[in-house]
Amino acid sequence: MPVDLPPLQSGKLALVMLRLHADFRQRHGLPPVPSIAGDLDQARGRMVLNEPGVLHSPRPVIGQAIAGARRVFWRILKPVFDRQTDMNRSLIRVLEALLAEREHHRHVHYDLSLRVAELERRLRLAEREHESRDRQA
Amino acid sequence: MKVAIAKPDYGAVGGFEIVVQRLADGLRRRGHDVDLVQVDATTSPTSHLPVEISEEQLLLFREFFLHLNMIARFEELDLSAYDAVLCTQPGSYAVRHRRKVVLFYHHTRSFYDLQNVIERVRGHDVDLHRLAAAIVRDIDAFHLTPQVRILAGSLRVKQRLTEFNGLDPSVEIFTAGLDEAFLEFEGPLAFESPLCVGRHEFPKRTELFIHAMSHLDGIEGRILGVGSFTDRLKGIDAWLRVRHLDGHGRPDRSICPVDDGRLWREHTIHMTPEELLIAQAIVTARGLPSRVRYLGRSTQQELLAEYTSALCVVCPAFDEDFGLTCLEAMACGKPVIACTDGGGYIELIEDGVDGFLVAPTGPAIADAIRRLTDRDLARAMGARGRQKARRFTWARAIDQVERALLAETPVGASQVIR
Repeated sequence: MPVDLPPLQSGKLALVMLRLHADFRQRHGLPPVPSIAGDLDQARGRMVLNEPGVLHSPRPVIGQAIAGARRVFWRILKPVFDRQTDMNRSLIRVLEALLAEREHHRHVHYDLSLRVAELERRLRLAEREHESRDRQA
Repeated sequence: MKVAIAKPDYGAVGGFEIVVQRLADGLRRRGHDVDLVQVDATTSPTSHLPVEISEEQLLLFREFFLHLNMIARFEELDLSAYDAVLCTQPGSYAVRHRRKVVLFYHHTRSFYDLQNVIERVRGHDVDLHRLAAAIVRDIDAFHLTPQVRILAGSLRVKQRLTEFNGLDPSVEIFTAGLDEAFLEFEGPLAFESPLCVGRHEFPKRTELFIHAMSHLDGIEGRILGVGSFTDRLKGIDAWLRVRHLDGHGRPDRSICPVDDGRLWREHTIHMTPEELLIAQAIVTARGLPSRVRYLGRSTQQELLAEYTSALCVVCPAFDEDFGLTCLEAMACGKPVIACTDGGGYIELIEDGVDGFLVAPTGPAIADAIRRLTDRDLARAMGARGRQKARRFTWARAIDQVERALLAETPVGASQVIR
């Protein structure tokens, strides 16, 4: 009967398959297939608002005035952005928890599949013994 | 016209290799210059993959890696010296050519129409198998686009291309021809034993024929063909006889009814060699003879002799792509019994007219065989099948392929990026 691979082995094999797929899509100019893990990696990079360069203006004369105005606006708007960022962080934590739970379920599922396989083996043995006893009787 | 026929080389000659050879010969006779371009599929199944695959991983998902490797190998073939390319089995449709025609008989089936069956029985990790199937389908979709001219081996195959690849209007149905040895046979016909012809592999379901024969007294079934399952079939044969022993060791079919679904999906694959040997030892010790005779591999002449002396021909395979055996049997004037989930067979057999379509169980097949022991009925049904089979000539098949090769295909169709 079907038996799952141990989670570690299964994870390695899945990684190999995904790499081959990614390589094919890249070679043929196709966009990468979106995945939760990939999306999370991208989201992590946007978790913080420490981007001082954003307020800077390269204009030669009025650059400093523009940067000053931006700082003022920034002080007003920052609480709104902070709130949004907090929400994003929470969302990312939820997604990470979901991923961890899925991984946990894979382990539980694997243990269960081993137990089912063992029970089935015992059942078949018992069935065979029963048949053999019937024949002898 | 200079034509390349692109094909993976599996190191064996089966029905499809004969089809390819007939097409090549037919096109040559019409003045085309034809080369068979084969890619070895028996060794180095990971040679063109950019990631290192361990032996263990290869063993677990050989079909997946082999498929991707074949795609990579056909993609890099330079066939620009040819005017047209006829692609054949999975992988070969990755050939890049402005004028290519795909003669499509089947997908890599364990990732398509057989996915659920395989997941249930083969012992694969189901999640991984689904991942592999999704990847294979995505990669195939890149090459099997509406811009590619496709000749599907049967209506059933066209349905699969519609279901899995969203292809429909661009797909034309192709029917292979029958060998003249069958079409032109005019010798005497005898109606003796039920016959089952085919490779012994999953899911040809020869075990259903064996089960059917265990329900029939006074008739011996004949099995022609070999394969990786031949020894298992003999074990299953013995196991069925053991199942039907009563408490006193006497045969009694009314006890221990066999679940045919489990028989072909699970028992045939998962019985251990020890279990099969034990069953064989019991039947030998009790002197319970088999109801079938295994004839092994045959020449075409032997095959013809078997067809012409058969009572009927049983084709128990699950969801077959086309059903050449059925047509050969019909050409030889024999009624054919197939199952209602037999795929391509259903297109060829008219139930109750030139054969029977029955439930995929041993007892149902046995009932149909029993009806055909009325030789007059068998002869009349066989005669109707013979008329039908006459339409399947190679001249017609080669016409169709030649037309497709000569037709204009959009330039660069094979490289359209979605």
